[in-house]
Amino acid sequence: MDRLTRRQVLKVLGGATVAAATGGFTGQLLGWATAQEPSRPLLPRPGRRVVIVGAGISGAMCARTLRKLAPDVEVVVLERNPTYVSGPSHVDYVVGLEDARKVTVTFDALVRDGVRVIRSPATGLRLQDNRVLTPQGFVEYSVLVLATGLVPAEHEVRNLLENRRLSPHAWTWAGTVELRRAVEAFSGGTFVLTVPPPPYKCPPGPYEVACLVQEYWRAKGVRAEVVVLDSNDRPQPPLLADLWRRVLQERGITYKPSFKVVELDPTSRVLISDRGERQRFDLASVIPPQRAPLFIEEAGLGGPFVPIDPATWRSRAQENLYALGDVAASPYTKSAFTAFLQGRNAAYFIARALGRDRGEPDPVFNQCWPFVSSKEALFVEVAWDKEGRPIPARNRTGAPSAQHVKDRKQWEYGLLRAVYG
Amino acid sequence: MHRWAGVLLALLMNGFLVGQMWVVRGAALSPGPAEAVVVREDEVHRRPVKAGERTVLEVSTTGLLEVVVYERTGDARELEEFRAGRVPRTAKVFSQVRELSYPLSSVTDTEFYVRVRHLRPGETRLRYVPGLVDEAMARLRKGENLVRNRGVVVVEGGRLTMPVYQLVPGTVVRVEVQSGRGVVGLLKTRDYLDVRDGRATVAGRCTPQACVEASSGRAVLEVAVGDYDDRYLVAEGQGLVFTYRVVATPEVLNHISSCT
Ligand SMILES: Cc1cc2nc3c(=O)[nH]c(=O)nc-3n(C[C@H](O)[C@H](O)[C@H](O)COP(=O)(O)OP(=O)(O)OC[C@H]3O[C@@H](n4cnc5c(N)ncnc54)[C@H](O)[C@@H]3O)c2cc1C
Repeated sequence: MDRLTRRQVLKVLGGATVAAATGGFTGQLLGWATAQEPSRPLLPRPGRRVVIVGAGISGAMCARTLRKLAPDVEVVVLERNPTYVSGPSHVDYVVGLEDARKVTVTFDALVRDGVRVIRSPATGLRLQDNRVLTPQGFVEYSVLVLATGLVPAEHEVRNLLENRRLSPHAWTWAGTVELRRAVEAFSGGTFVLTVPPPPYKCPPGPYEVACLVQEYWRAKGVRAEVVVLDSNDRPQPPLLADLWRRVLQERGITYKPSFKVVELDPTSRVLISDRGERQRFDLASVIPPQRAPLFIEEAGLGGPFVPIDPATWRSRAQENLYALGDVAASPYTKSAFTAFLQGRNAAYFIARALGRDRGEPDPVFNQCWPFVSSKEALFVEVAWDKEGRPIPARNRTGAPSAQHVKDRKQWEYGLLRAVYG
Repeated sequence: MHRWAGVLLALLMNGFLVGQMWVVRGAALSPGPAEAVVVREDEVHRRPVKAGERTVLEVSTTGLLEVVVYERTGDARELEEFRAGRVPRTAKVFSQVRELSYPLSSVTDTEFYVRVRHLRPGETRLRYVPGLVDEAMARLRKGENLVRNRGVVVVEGGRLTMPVYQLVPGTVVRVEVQSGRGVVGLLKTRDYLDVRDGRATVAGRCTPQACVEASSGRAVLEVAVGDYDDRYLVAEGQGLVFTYRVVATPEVLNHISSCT
């Protein structure tokens, strides 16, 4: 990806029909107060308008595919951030293996394709009126697509929200930057990383972080004990459990399964499990459970994820509503790999619902190349049929190899080019 | 563990869902149930389970039991611990049960180990009812409900707490009090911890939706689970006997994931 310039960022904002200057909004939707309901329409009444909330992998892919399949349909994307940072690279960024500029993209390509990109957070939904609410006004839709990804539910671990600085994690971009600083500054001691119960984004991610930081500190001569506390009874995903166990053991990483952290004691720097067990830390990275942004739950669409028909991505509750990627309650892995295919495939079904039948896309599958070190990665593949049923015969795993690292980076850069290039 | 079986995927490990991805070729029909055998305290029962199988463990006693179910995780120390009569951290423990029904299945070929301890002496029988994950899934797809696990629990006095396994959105927990006096609640983690650590009483954390009070016998509680929060059965009372069932409705099909 190209280096981002200020000009490019401004171009995205300028290219948008509505540049909703939202100020310094950086992160978590959990903090949003339900503001007074806006009464002003941001756009004129729609003909056929698809509004997509979120220009991450699934939302952006859906928007661009829809423009191709149904050029006469207006596509509006609401995105709260000016740029998007690729999720998989959070992991290697933590130890300085990736340059943020290479994996940060703008939404220029969407604008070029005729998508209206509005830089504003969605703060509420009025389903009965087909309206998405923003702090500046509302946007009406014929079809609504939720592609917001997930937010970390830090409040589910006692004292975590109030003590974030003791425990940065790579499951948000801001957290990733903080974790990198903390890892760089770490002078030795016990680093404890926790794994939430599934479903969470990128099931192998936590073990990758553990392996990479340990390798980083060893190379720097920092004496660190790395401990992984897992809510699950084995490393995730289950298909990789045996391989992970071996890798963690070989690297001397302490692995404690069935250790669900429910509390952080900031005074004694201890993590406490639901069974009352205690683990001391010098630096922690508690990865919280993850769920749909609050405004979606508040609209009555269910929580922690939005139930959909996995064959069409259509909501089980609302005819003209779709949910894609991480935010959907679906059989598909919460990954960028499937988010891309989900965005593409959903566009076919939305186009069909709008009277533009463009055939049937290939079903979703997932491939992932988790790092075990900067030089080697594992491999796992799973696939589903067009109804979203797993196809066991397609399960594949691969032991650590240097080729997997190459494949991973090639895939990620290719993905960013395909969606945002 | 407990969602230690880690919801979705892990769901799998816990029961039928995961295993669904690993169909046993050629095993189209599951054979009938094996005969129940009488088991002695602290005997270790090993049960290999192939990927795609869903074998239901059934234990019943005329006394009162603690049942420990352990699935091999690849950590040799854990298995040694289990064989030595201790409880590995990933094992599931069912305490003060008179009957227990629990499915054994996994994403890969595996082995389960079962051990019982008598809290009150009695004759204890154990059997395995073979089945396939696919059969269970087919029933859900047809719109039927499916009992995922079930126990008959006795609280002679004091308080019992135990995690409830295999909860995902779309499951329903049904508690039927048969006799005795007391309260049975299904508490979420935060409330459970407050009770456990003495910050609150069971009654103080009970809402009518999550608890049932029995003054003289029969009472029913039904909780529809719509999230991934863990839940714990908390029961306090005298001579309390109740059955709990974790029932999957077709709604769980929306939440089955491979989490790969
Ligand atoms: C540490 C880590 C490692 C990972 N590694 C991998 C990997 O190796 N392979 C892989 O395939 N996947 C990986 N992933 C997962 C992957 O990044 C996500 O699954 C994927 O990005 C999901 O895509 P999405 O479109 O659903 O949501 P996202 O990509 O999260 O995009 C959501 C978008 O919605 C916007 N948004 C949210 N709320 C609002 C709102 N209210 N209004 C307007 N906009 C909003 C956000 O700003 C964002 O741009 C990893 C993730 C992490 C955190």
